[in-house]
Amino acid sequence: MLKNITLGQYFPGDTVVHRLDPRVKLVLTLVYIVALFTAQGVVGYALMFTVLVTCFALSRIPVKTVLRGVRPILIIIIFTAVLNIFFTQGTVVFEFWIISVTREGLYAAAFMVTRLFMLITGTFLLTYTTSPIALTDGLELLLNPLKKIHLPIHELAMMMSIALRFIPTLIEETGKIMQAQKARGADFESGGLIKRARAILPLIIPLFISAFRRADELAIAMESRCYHGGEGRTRMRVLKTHFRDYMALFGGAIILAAVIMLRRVLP
Amino acid sequence: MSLLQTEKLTHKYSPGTPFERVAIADIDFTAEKGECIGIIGHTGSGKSTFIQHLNGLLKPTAGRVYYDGIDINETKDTKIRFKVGLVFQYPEYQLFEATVFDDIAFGPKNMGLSEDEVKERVHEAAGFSRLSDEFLQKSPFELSGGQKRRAAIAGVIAMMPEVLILDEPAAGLDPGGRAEIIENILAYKEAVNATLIMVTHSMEDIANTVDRVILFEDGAIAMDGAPKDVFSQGDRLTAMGLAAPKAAMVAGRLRQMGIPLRNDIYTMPQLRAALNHLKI
Repeated sequence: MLKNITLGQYFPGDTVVHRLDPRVKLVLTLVYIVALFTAQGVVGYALMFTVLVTCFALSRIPVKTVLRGVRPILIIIIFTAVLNIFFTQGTVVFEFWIISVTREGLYAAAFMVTRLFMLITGTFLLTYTTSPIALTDGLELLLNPLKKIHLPIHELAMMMSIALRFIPTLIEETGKIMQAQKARGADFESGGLIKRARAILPLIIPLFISAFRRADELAIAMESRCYHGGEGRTRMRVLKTHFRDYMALFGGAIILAAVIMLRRVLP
Repeated sequence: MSLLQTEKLTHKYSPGTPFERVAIADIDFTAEKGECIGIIGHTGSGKSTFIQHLNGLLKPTAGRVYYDGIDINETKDTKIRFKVGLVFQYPEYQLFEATVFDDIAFGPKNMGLSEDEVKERVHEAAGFSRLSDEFLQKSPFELSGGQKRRAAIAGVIAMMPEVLILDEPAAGLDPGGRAEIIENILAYKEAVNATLIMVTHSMEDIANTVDRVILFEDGAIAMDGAPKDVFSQGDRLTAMGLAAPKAAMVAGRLRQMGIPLRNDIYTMPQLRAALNHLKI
């Protein structure tokens, strides 16, 4: 049950995509999203699809992993498709009882589904190829200018990396407690809603206690190593931009320009 | 047929991903009624994975597990979890009820016993763990580390399992607490003639108690025999990153120095007796 959570999980590797500066990857993901929502028509989508497939091929992430990541949001995709098919006005191609399917509806559904699918897999690429630590580092540096207006950027980034760091730990812990309670005959899988909600108590209570204990221990460990917030703190890993990072940004800019051009040329 | 038996038991974690890891491979194992077995091995040698197969918590990737002649992964009967009681490492982390009494009662309640039977089981289990009635009404979070551990172990004993398996029952306790826990467990074993399996990497804990030692290395059984046979192979144990009990090591060194001692000494009382018998 707990093994299936790969939503945005880091997939270690040593490819060009993995080595890109996390700041660049964050910016490029934003560019990708903007381009995806700007893209129009078959040609525009084909271009974006090519970009997506190329990036995935470069990062050597197995197709299976990508598809497994999409599974949890499949329901939303299907729901979107159904809404678009049945509730778009236009030329009717098929009618039954009160349901009518239009040509425009089918087109809209196809485009919406493609767009959603590409949006999700594209943003997954970021989290698949960037370790959570690198990601928060990148985010902190990108948002650094906001410190000028007294936003606690460092503290937010630290909270985020701690939260990310403890997700696997808590999942492991949940697994252990589940096994221990199952060994005493606990049943998490059968029964109605109320029975299941009650069955989860022996899991939730020890998990909360252990989460608080860990938080407490971590806070003391950080303080005893003189952590006092972001002020005057230097980094162990200083992010450096390389030639490949500028190339990637340049590529991103060209693709965005191409998508905007296509919109003008092929309306 | 033995009470508990495994046949070519194999378990892989995350099969089919880059994280695939073989935890245990082709394990053949048997345990008889009333036996007292110690499983030792390095961290990551597969011993914890192995014991979780014995009550069906983990499903084997390949191979079979039999309890009393029945393949536990074929039958729909979940009672196996009550017949083979498993106490995890740091069991105090599983306590969740408002009182120690309710927590110990969790297992028996899940067995579907009547209220009176549950009450009886709780008091019986608390007796083995030396928890007084006063303790039973306390919140588990008011207890000391050793008391919490005893309460958690009582929670499994209350199911009156035929086979009691404990993963590092004494880890992280002071010497007094360690001795007490082992004593409690043995009291239960003696009372109902249960099969006892203790997993540990501390030889001292099991040297005095078990009558068979199984040594795990790299997901396979490397040695299986009487304690004297396993502990006399000090060099092999050292090569595996494990240490023989201190008494066995001292006896070994004395033998090397030419003092005629038998090679089946592995507890302090045995060593003391042997040294007293020496005529110098």
